[in-house]
Amino acid sequence: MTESILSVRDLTKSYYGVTAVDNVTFDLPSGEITGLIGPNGSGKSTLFDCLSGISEADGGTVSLYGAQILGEKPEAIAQRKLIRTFQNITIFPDLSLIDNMRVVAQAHSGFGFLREIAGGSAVRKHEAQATLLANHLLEEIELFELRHRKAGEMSYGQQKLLVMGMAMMAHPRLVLFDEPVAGVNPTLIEKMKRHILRWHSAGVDFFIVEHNLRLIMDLCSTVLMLDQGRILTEGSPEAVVNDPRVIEAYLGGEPV
Amino acid sequence: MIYRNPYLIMLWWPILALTIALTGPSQYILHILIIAGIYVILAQSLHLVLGQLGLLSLGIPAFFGIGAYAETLLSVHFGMDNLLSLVLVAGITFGSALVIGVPSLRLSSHSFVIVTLSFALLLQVIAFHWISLTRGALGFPDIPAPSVLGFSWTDKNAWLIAILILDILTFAVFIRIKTSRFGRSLAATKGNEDLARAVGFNTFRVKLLAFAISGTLAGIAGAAYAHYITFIDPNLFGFSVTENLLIMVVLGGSGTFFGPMIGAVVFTVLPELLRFSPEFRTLLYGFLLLVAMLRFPRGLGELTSRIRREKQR
Repeated sequence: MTESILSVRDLTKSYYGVTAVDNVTFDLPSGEITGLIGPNGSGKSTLFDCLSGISEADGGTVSLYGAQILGEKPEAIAQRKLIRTFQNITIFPDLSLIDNMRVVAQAHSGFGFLREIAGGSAVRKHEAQATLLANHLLEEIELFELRHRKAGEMSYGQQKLLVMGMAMMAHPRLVLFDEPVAGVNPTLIEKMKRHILRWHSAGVDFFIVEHNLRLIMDLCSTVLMLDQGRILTEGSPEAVVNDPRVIEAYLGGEPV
Repeated sequence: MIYRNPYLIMLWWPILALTIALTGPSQYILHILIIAGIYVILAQSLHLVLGQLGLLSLGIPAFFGIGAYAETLLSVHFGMDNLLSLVLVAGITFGSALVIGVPSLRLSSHSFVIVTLSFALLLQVIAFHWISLTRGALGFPDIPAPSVLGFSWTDKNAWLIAILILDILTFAVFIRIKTSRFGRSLAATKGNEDLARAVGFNTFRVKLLAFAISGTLAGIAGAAYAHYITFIDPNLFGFSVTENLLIMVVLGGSGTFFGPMIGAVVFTVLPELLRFSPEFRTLLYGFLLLVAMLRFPRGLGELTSRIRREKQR
C-alpha cells in the first residue's frame, strides 16, 4: 500500500444541528491526484474547511504526513504546506498580479514582521527569489505580460488562473482545489488541466473538488464521492461514476 | 528629485511651516503650526490602522494620554533627560498597545471599535480617580520645558522645529512600513483576511504590530504635547481628540497616502481661520465639513492624485 499524505478518521462537523460532515474516514494516497465529488450541499466545502482549519471540526482526527493538524489555525496548516483555494475566487484585488504571487511566498519566508520592516540583504534575497518564481509561474499560466496590473481588474478566468499560481508560490506538498474550473471556458479548462498535471509531475499532490466530471476523470487516480456528509463510495474514476448509487445520488439516474 | 522619490512630496508641510516661521509671524500663528504638527503625527497614527488595515481605532487618545502622563511623571519625578524619557514612553505605549490589542484584535471589527473607545474612556476615569498618581481633575500644571542632551527650549520657533523633526521621523517610519514587505502583508490582510490566513499569514500578528506602532506614534505625540502645553489633565483621554482625528483622516482621505497629513493641517488651521466670526464659527465649520465630504467623498488627498493625473495627460 502506498503511504498516505492525509489520513482522516471519523471527521464530523455540524452546523445548527445539521451534520454537514458525518464520520468521514479516508486516506489520500501519496503521489496522486484525488478527486472529491458530490451534489451541492453534500459537505465538500465544509470538509475542505475542516481540513484547512477554516472551520473547527466537532470530532475526529486529521493527520498530514503523520502530524495531527486538526484544531490548528489556518495559517499554521498553510505553514505545513497544505494550501487550499476557495470556491469563490479569492485574490487580493488591490495588489498587482505579481504582488499577489509574491505575498504568498512572503508568508512562508519565516522572517518576523519587524525583520520585514527593517529589510536587509536576507529579505531582499528572499524577495528576489520570490520574484523569480512568480515570473516563472506567471509565464506558465500566461499572465506574465499583465503582472503589474491589479488583480481585481482581471477577467474571471484570469483570476481563476491566478488563484492556481498563488497556491504554487507556497511550495506546497498538498493543494486542496475547491472547484478550480467552475464557470471557466472549455479551452481554458484544458490549459488548467495541463498546469495541474505539470505541477503534479513536479511533486505536488492535489485533492480536487469539482463538478466537472470530465476533469475529474482525466486527472484523478482516485475519486471519493460524498453524499449528505458521508463517503458514499471511493475508487477509480470509472468505478465511481458507474456506481449505481453515485448515478442515483449525483447524476439523477443517467450514466456519463 | 521628486520624480525619483514620490514620497519627498510630503516635505511640503515642513517647508511650508518653516517658510511661514521665517516671515516672523505672531506667537499665535506659530502655536497653530505647532498644534497642526502634533496632529500630523496623530493623524498618521490613525492612518496606520484605519487606512492600511481598515480598522477603526477610537483608542488613539488613550495612547496620546498615556504618552503625555508617562512623559510628565518621568520628567517630574525622575528629572530624566527627555530623549531617554521619550524612548521609555515609546516602549510604554508600544507595550500598552500590545496589552489592549491582544484581546481587542481578536474581536470583530465592530466590537474592536467599541473596545478601543471604551479603553480610552476607561483610562479617563482612572486618570480622574487615581489621584495619588495623576492628581485627578487638578491635572499637572507647570510641566518643565523639555531637556534633550543638555538643550532646553521654550521658544515657539524652537518648538516648531522640534515638532517638524518628529513629523518627518513619523513619515519616515510610515514610508518604511508602507514600502517594506510588511506593507504588503498589511495590504493583503486588509484586502482579504481569510485568504491571507489561508496562504499562511498570521494576520492577528500583522494587525497587532500595526496597532502597536500606531499607539507608539500617538504616545510620542502625547509626550511632546505635555511639554509644549505644560499642562495635562484627564480630558486628554476624551472623545474630542478622536473626533478631530476622524475629520482629518476621513476628510483628508484615508485611502490616499498624503491625505491624512493634508487633513491634519487643513482641519487644524480652518477652525482658527473662522474665528473672524465667533457667533457662526461652529456653524460655518460644520457647513464646510459637509461641503468637503460631498465634494471630495474620498478626501482631500484625492485632489493631489487628480492633479497628478491631469498633469500626466
